Amino acid sequence: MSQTSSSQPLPPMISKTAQWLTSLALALGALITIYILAKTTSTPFKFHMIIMLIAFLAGIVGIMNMGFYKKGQIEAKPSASGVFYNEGIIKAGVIASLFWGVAGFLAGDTLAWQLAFPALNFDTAWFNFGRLRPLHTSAVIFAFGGNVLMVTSFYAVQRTCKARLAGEIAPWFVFWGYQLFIVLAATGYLLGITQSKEYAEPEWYVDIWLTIVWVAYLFVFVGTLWRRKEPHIYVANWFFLAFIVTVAMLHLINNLAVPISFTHPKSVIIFSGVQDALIQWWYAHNAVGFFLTAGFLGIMYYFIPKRVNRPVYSYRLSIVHFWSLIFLYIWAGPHHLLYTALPDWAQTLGMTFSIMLWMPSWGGMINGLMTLSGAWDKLRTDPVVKMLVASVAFYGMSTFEGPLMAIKAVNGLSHYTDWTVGHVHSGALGWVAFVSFGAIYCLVPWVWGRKDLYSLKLVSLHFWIATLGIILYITSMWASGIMEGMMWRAFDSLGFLQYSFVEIVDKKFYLNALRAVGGLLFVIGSLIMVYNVWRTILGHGDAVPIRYKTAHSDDNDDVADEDKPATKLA
Amino acid sequence: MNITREEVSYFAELWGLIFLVILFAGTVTFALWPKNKDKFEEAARRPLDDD
Repeated sequence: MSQTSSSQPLPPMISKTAQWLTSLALALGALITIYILAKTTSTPFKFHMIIMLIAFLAGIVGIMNMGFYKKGQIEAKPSASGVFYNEGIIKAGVIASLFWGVAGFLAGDTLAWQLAFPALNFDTAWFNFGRLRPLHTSAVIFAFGGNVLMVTSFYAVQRTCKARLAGEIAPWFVFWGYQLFIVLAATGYLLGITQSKEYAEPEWYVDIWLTIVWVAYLFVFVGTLWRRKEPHIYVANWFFLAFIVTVAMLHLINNLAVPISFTHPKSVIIFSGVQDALIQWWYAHNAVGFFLTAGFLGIMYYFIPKRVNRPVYSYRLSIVHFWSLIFLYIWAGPHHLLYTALPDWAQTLGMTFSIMLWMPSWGGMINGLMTLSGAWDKLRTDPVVKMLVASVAFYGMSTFEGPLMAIKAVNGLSHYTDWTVGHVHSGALGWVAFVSFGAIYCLVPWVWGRKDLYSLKLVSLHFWIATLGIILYITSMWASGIMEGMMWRAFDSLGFLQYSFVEIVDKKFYLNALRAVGGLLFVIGSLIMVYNVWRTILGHGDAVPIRYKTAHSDDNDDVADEDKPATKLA
Repeated sequence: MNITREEVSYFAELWGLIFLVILFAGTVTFALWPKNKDKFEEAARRPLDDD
């Protein structure tokens, strides 16, 4: 309660100039889409231009509608200390994360069943493995992971800086602009638009759009840091900032391409041969390092201390963790190109840096786990903490496995096999998704003003079903991958390959089917979460609505409209 | 432009090593600097601030 009634901050206002300028920019974008629409001969490109046109026009309406009838005032509740946190964007981000999460997990499990039963692509081009696979990877990494990172970074940066998110239009532009990017990317894959770069499949025009959105994201984040009250920037924000800045750099360099025409979706990458391969894997590995690691470590450093109500175990360690992680990760990319045309010294470099990554990874894991010192009982009583702790444990496990697989001798066996797929999923499901679920379970009651989640028992159920799913997934992939690698390298007494490719594929059938079952359990877990979150938002069960005592609660009547109890609970 | 393996390994083993060692030493010094102690202890509690 630092604010007294005499110096109460004013509720946020929208700037008319900003409204007109952004609308003008969107109108310009709309004109460009109309021009391309008129000129292009490519039907998928036309389809995309129509989507963009509709999105831009809807954007203009949405922006002009902000603060309309309210003299430019933006609806916002002040917190106990009088800060008007932007919580609308958090709610939107949580819902978008859940939506894309389920969509991405479903796509993934469909692919898993396709690998066991190939007929499940229904013999159509659209649901062919080659098109559905980038849809799955983009949906889980960029749509689910990206939305989770945006929403958690927007939440954590506001709270740790005690400042409202910078800009009124900008955060919403980032949110909806990013959703547009996802829709364009996903529909493009199914229609056959791709530049064939793994994890960077969208074509040039979608890349340009993402660049604009990402720069806006950077401005919103840095602008909020700029407003902070304390001089020191909290460590979670360092991780988020490193994630935003590095992803911008990776995206720009890996997507340097020349469109064959401005009225055609196809483009040509300016690099070629092994240079292109190295740039691609420098990009892709650092997408793992900065998107899927640094960003989610930001979540760990904010949500674990917050949830267990304990300070970070060692803040000094977190500083060493941060700087050593970001300066080592950037060099590890070449380990994706062992035994290729890449010069041997570069392969060794990538391998060496991967092994060095053990240190910061495990330093960070220890820091996250030890934050529970004095609160280990919460591991037993709070299933959300269980989820967060399991995520950090999986982080430790997959960052141990990764460098191991980057060792040339191990990679000679593991590369191109299911082992790699298993490794990726122990990181993606165990670490990234679990820490995201934990953060979402924290955020929903916080921003919707509920005492607790609808049901902690359902969280526990989600935790166990999903954990069982992950275990089935990674163990079947270990077995399948090692078997596959051994069979590929087996020679008979005359020096011929002992097994034909199809024999090996056949041998993998049961393990592939088991993996699909594991994936199904994971999907079921995520549906349980959606149900739990939905009931929490409605205020059912233990999700008793709470009315915050706020600095403005007397003079602002429309404060707590959605705080109204949905049930008879008072 | 032809870069030989020797040139690269010389550069990496000398300048890469110097750069990373300085960076690490700098980070550890910054983390352990006595004057920063209070600031970091306060920062470690930053998420706990209820607001």
